[in-house]
Amino acid sequence: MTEPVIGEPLVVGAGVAIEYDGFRAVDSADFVVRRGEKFVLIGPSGCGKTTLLKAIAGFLTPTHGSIRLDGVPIGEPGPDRTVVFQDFDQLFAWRTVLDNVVYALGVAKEMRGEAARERARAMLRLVGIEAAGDKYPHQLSGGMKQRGAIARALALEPRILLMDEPFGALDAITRSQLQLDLNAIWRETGVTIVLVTHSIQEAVFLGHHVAVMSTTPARIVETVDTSAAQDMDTPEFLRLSHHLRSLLITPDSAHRSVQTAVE
Amino acid sequence: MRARVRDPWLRLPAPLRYAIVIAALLAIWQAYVSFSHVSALLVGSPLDVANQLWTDVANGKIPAATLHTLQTLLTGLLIGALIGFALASLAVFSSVGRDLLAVLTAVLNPLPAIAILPLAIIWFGLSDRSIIFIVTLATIWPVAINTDTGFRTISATTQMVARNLGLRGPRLVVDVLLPAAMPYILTGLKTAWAFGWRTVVAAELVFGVAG
Repeated sequence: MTEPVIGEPLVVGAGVAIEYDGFRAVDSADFVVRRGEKFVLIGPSGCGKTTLLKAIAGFLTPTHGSIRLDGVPIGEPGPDRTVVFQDFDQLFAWRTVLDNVVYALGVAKEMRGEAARERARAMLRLVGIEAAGDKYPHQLSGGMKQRGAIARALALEPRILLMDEPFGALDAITRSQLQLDLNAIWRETGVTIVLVTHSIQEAVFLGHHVAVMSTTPARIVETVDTSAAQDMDTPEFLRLSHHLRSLLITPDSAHRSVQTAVE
Repeated sequence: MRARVRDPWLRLPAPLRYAIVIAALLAIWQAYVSFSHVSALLVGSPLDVANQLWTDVANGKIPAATLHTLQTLLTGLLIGALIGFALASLAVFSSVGRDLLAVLTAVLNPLPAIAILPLAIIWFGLSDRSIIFIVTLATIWPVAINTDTGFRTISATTQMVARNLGLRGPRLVVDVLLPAAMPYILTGLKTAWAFGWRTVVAAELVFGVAG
C-alpha cells in the first residue's frame, strides 16, 4: 500500500491566543498542519492543548490571532471537522453503534436508508468492529467505543479529524493496538489528523510533526519533525523521544510548578 | 449466583409477602368492626365494602367513572407535560427562558393546584375543562423542573458531539436532549402522575360530578 502524500498547508494558526473566564489558556501559538499528515499536540496536563484543539473544531474562538482551514477562518463547529473525544460517553447511548453512524450520516450528509447503512457498515469494518454494529455502547469495551467514535467521525468524510486524547482512558495493551490500527486507518483513508496527547511514545509513533506546548499560558515551544521515526525499535525513535522529553521536562519545571501552586 | 437469604420472610416471593401484609391489615380492620360494635354507618366492614365494590363494578358504574377520571387525568397530564417540555427547552436555549422558568416554578410550584379550582370554575364553568385545567397546572412544574435538570446534566461531551454534527433547534431537543435526559424526564412524569391523581381526586370530591 502506498503512503498517502503529505501536501500543502491545510490548517494554519497564527499568533493564536485563547482566553476564557479571564484565564489565558493559550498565549501565542503558531502552527501549520499539512494536508494528509498526522499532527500531534503534546504538552503537560492542563496546558491548553485541548483548548487549541477545540478552537480548531470551532467550539472556542481565539481572542487574538487566527486559525484558517484552507485559507478560510474557522467558524462554528461542523462535520467537516469531526472530533473524537477521550470520554467513553461520546456515542449516543440510546442508539446502537451502527445507528450512531447512520444517524450522523443522516444529520450531516443527508444520507439515509440502505446507502447510509452500507456506508456505516464499511466504516465499522474499517475500524474493526463490524460484528458489534447491533450492540449498544454500554455493551462495548472502552477500546471498542473509541473505535465506534472514530468510525462515526470518519464516516462524515471530514477535511480534518480532530482527536482529543482518544486513547487516554484505555489500558496500555488496548492503547498500543489502537495506535497501530489508527496508522492503518490513516494509510487507508489519507485523512488529515490533529491528535492531542500527553504520551511521548504516542506522539513520536503516530505523528509526522509534533508541536510541543509549554505550561499555561501555553506557547508552542518547538515543532519537531518525527516523520522518520515510525518504528519504535530504531535509534531515531529513541533520539526523538529523548528530545521531546527534554523539551517537556526541564530541570526548573518542578520549581516553576511549585511557584504556580503558591501563586 | 445469588447469596442465600437468611431471613425466612424474604425467602417468600414478593407478591405473596405483599398479599400477606394486605390480608393482615384487612383482618385487623374486620376484627375492629366485628368486636367493637361500632355503627356500620360510621365504619363499614371490609366485607361490606367489598360487596358494594363488586356490585358497582358488575353494574358498570365504577368502570365508567374510572374511565372518565382517567381520561380527564391523562388529558391534563399530556397538556401539562407538553408545556413542561416547552418551558424546559426554552430555558436551555435562552437566558430569558431560564429566568422565566425559575420565576414561574418558584411562584406556582408550591401552590396546590386545587386552590385554583374556584377560579377555574369561574373561567371554564362546572365542566371537565376546569378539572383538566388544574391537572395541567399540577403537572407542568414537576415535568418542567425535572426536564430542565435533565438537560443541564447532559455531559459536555454529548453536547459537543451534537454541535459537531451540526444539530440545533427542535431537532437537537428531540434527537439528543430528550433521550439523553430520559431518566430525569421519567422521574418528572412519575411525580406529575402522582400530583395529577391527587388533584383530580380532590377536584372531583369538590365537584361531585361523575368520578
